[in-house]
Amino acid sequence: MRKGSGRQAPIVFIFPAFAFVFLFTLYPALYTAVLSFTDASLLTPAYSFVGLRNYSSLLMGQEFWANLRITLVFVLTTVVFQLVLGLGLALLTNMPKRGCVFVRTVALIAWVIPEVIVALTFKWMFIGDKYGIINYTFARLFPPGGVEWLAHPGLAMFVAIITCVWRGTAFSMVLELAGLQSIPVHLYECASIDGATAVQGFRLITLPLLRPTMVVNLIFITLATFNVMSLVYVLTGGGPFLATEVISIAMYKEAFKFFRIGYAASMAMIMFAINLLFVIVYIRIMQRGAAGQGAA
Amino acid sequence: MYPTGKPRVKLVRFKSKALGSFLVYCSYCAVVAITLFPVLWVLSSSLKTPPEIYRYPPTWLPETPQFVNYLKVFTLTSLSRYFINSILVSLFTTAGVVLVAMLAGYGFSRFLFKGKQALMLILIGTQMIPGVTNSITVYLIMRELGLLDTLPALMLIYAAVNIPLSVWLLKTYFDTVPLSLDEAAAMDGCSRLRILFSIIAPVSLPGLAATALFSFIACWNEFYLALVLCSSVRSSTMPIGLFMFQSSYDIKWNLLGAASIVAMLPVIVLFIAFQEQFVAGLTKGAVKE
Repeated sequence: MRKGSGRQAPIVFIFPAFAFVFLFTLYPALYTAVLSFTDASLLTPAYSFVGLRNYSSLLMGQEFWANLRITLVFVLTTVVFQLVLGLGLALLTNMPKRGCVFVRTVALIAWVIPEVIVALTFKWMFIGDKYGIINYTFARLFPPGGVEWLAHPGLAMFVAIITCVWRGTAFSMVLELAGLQSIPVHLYECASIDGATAVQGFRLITLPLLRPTMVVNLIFITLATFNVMSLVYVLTGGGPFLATEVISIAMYKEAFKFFRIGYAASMAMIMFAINLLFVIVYIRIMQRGAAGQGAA
Repeated sequence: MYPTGKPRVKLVRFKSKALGSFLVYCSYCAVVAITLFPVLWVLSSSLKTPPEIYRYPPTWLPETPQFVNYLKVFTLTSLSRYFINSILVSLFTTAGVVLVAMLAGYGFSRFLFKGKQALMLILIGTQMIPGVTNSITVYLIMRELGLLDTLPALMLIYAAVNIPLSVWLLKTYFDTVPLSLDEAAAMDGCSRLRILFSIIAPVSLPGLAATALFSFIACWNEFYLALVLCSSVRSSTMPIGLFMFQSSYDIKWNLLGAASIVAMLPVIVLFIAFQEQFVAGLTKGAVKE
């Protein structure tokens, strides 16, 4: 029965899914690779191959490295906060307390509402003048206040990170909660009988057994934050003075504001390569983790 | 209660337990407050008059709630257009995704064939290609197809983006449906397609619902591809509408707040109604190997 019986071959079933994926995911990816070796522009239909020129001018120029540095600062900070706060939230809402499910649900609301609204809301709260609610509170606590959050390069980055952490932490919570719930309860019972404290239980049971979940979580949020576009673009537009221009925004502007799609495609390919690097590291760590568990 | 033993230790433990509970509840309150505050602030702002919006010191609650703002945002702006576009794109895409993923999920769950593992890997692997890096050539392809600034462009690309995860979710769901159901139906002479649609689909409703939910929310929220492909009023979805609203020269935060509430309401309602399936799907989608 499990074997495909002649008349309705499995190809009939899986073909439509693959048609979509080939036409709108794989083909565009290959097309981008080809485009990255050309001087194509959105303004003129003709283009010619220029070899590695896009890549060399990209890697020689300063803008790209500035964008990359901004992206890395953004990704590192956001990921650390999301991971740690997500773990904290997971531990908190995993306790057998009244209301834990309610807290989980509420926390996840931040993750399901559209990114655009999250960005607009934080923009509205952090807006520079005193009617911005954050500035009002800030001025009450630390007079005279009146900080131009989104007009100052460093502070705009700070707001972008806070916004991204606010939105993304609940995702980490869900994953780590699933990890926590897969740890057998009897391990803690044994430890408690042997006189282990709660802290020891956390350090010696929870953390090691949660490691695989945390690695998966880490890679997921690293990829998501590395490719972030909407949230930061709506919040700051990449400014002020390009201080929050993460690499995806730079690529978007290159392609759809300056119309240099060949050059933008080479940026896309480098982004893609960095994504791939993350995935390879992820698979390596997972394999090593599995081997380690097999040996233990 | 404990006549013998070490009462002092018990006392300390009890005290620290109560303290622990207190701290846990304090942090619960903090989490709820931090999550809900921005949403409630938008809600409050959406009910204010223009002068009250820019008043200093700001008022926490509107003096007299201006429910008329919600009417205004539908009549004075193109919000109704964006809302209809979002509904159309999300519903059509979701229907298509569920149909295509049902077929593929069934194919992967019930057939053994050469290269099955490799094909599964390719499908899952495409999820690692970020939408941002593909956007340039997706734009060119849609231009070639004459679909720029039309809703079908969004439907096609959103379907392609959401199909891999949906196939995976449905394959794992179908794996839990007993094979004996297929066999009994096959004995009665049902074709494979009949088996899928009239036997397997009805018993897989929770799995189908979760898949549909994910796809709907993803389409409803998507911003970047819509910005690239459809940014005229005619074809904009809610996220683009809100974005253009805020970049206009005289931004009205109270109306923008009302529009934001309208835009987030459907996903919040769907999420709360189906949160168990949502969380299960999220976890399954992330820990696939």
